[in-house]
Amino acid sequence: MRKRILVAEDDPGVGDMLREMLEEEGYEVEIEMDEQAVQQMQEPFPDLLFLDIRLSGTDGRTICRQLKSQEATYHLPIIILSAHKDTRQMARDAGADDFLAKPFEMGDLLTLVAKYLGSG
Amino acid sequence: MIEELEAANEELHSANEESLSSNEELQSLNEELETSKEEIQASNEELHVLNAELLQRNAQLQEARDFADAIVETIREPLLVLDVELRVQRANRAFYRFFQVEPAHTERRRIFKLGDGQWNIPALRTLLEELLPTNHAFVDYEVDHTFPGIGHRIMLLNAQRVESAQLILLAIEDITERKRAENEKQQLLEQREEFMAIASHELKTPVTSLKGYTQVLHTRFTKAGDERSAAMLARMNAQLDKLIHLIGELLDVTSIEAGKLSWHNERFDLDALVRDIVEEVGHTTERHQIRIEGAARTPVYGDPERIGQVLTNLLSNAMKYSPQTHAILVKLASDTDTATVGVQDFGIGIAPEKHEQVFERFFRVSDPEHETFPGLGLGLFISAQIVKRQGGRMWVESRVGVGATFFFTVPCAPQPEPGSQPLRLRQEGEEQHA
Repeated sequence: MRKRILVAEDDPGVGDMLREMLEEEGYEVEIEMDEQAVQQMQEPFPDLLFLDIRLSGTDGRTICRQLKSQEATYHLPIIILSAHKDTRQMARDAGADDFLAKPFEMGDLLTLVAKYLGSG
Repeated sequence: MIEELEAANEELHSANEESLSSNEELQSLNEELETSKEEIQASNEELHVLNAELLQRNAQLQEARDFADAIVETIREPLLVLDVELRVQRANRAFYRFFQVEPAHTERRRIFKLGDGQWNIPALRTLLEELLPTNHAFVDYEVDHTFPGIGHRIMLLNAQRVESAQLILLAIEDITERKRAENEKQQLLEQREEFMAIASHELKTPVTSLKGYTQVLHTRFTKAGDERSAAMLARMNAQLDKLIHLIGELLDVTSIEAGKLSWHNERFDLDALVRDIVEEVGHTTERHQIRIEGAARTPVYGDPERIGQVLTNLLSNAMKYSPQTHAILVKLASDTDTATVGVQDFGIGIAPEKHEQVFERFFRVSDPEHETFPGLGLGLFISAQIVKRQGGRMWVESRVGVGATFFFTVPCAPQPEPGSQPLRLRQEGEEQHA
C-alpha cells in the first residue's frame, strides 16, 4: 500500500511542487490549505504531515501542538517547513519531529521522508 | 711723696692696661659690627633679589590666573566651579548662555538649589557628595532631564576635584542632538532589517517552488534519457542557488548593520564540519580540487552553521579568484585556546594595500583581465563579522600573482568538568544594539 503524505501549505506554487516531487517518488499526496481542516483531521490519517510554520495566518506550531496532544494523531510524524532557518528550535519546542528550511534540496526532502516512512 | 707717686703710677699703669684692653674689646666689637654690617648688606641684597622674584612670581601667578580665566570663559561648553560645600563659586559664559540663567541666581548658591532645583538629581547628588571624601573624578556621567526654560536635554558630565584649591570642576556637554541622531539611525537600520527579513521571506517562496520544479524535471529528463534537457535544468538549479545565496547575503548584511545578527552557539567538531563543507563544495566544481591539510583535533565553540557559511564563502572566493589553477588547500591547526582554519588558493592574489579593505562592504577585487568579478562584495564582510562575533579573528596573507590564504580562528570549547557528561552547551544569541 502506498504511503500517504499530507501537505499543509497555503502557497499553491510550493504545494503543487511538493505534490509533483513526492508523487514522482511514488507517494500519495494530498494538499490542504485550511488550518481548521488540518487541525481537525479525521480518519483515515496520513502517514506523514508536512506543515508550514504559518498556515493561512495561523501559527503552525499551534496546529502541531494540538495534533501531538490528541491520542489519535499523537503518532503522526510532523515535519515543519519554514523560510526562516532560525525557527528550527521553535519547531522542536512545538513537538515537531523534524524541520526543513525553504528553499530546500529535493534530496534532503526525500531523505527526510524516507526516514519517517521508509520508501513509497 | 714718692710712695704716693709710685701708687699713682701703678694706678695709671692699671688704668692704662684697662684702657688698652677696653680698646682691644672695642676693636673686636668694631670688627664684629663690620661683619654684621656686611651680613646685613648681604641679606639686604638677598631680600632685593627675593623681592624681585616675588614680583615676578606674582606676575606669573596673575598670568596663570588670567589664562585660566580665559580658558574657562573661552571654552564653548558650560563649566561650573564649585567649592567644597557644593556652592557655585563661578560659572562660565557658556553655562549662563546655555541654561539661560543669571549670575545673580547662580553664584554662591548650592548647586542643588539652582533654578528651582533643576540640578537636584538624586544620582548626581550622590556622586558629588561622594566625590568629596573619596576624591574621585567621574567622566561621562549621563544626565537626562527636562530643564525649565531649555526643555529636555541629555548631557554628559565630567567632574574633578582640585585638591590644592579645594574646588570641584563640573564640565557639561549637551549630547541631545547626537543621541537623537544615533537613535534615528538605529531605527532606520532596524526598519531596513525588518523590511529585508520580510522581503527575503517573500522572495524565498517562489524560489522554493522554482527550485523544486527544476529538480523534479531534472529527475524526469534524466530518467527519460534526455541528457541535454537535464543539463539545462541542472544549470537552472545552480542559478537559483546563486539567487538564494544573494538573498541570504542581503539579509545578513542588513542584520549585521542593525545589530541583529543571530547565532546559536554550541560545542562542535570543527574537523568534521570542514570535511562536510569541503565535500559539499567539491561537488560544485570540476576544475578545482580541494585538499585538507592537518586537523584541529579539538572541539570548538561556536555556531556550526555560521562557521560553515564562512568556510563556504572562503572556498567559493578561492575558486572564483583562481580560474587558471586547480588546487585549493584547507589548512587546520590549533593551540590551547584557538583553532585556526586557512583557505589557500594559487590565483590572482591581493595587493598588500588592499589586505584590510577586502573585508569592507561592497569591496570587489578587479583584475585587468577579468574586470570586476561578479558578486555583491558582501561575502568577506559578512564572514569577518561572523568570525568576530564568535570571538575569533580573520585576516589574509597574499601576494599578487601568487595567490591568497584567508585565515580565521574559532575559540576552542572549554573542557567539561571531569567525571561529568560531555557538555552540549547550547546558546542562542542575538547581539544587543551597540
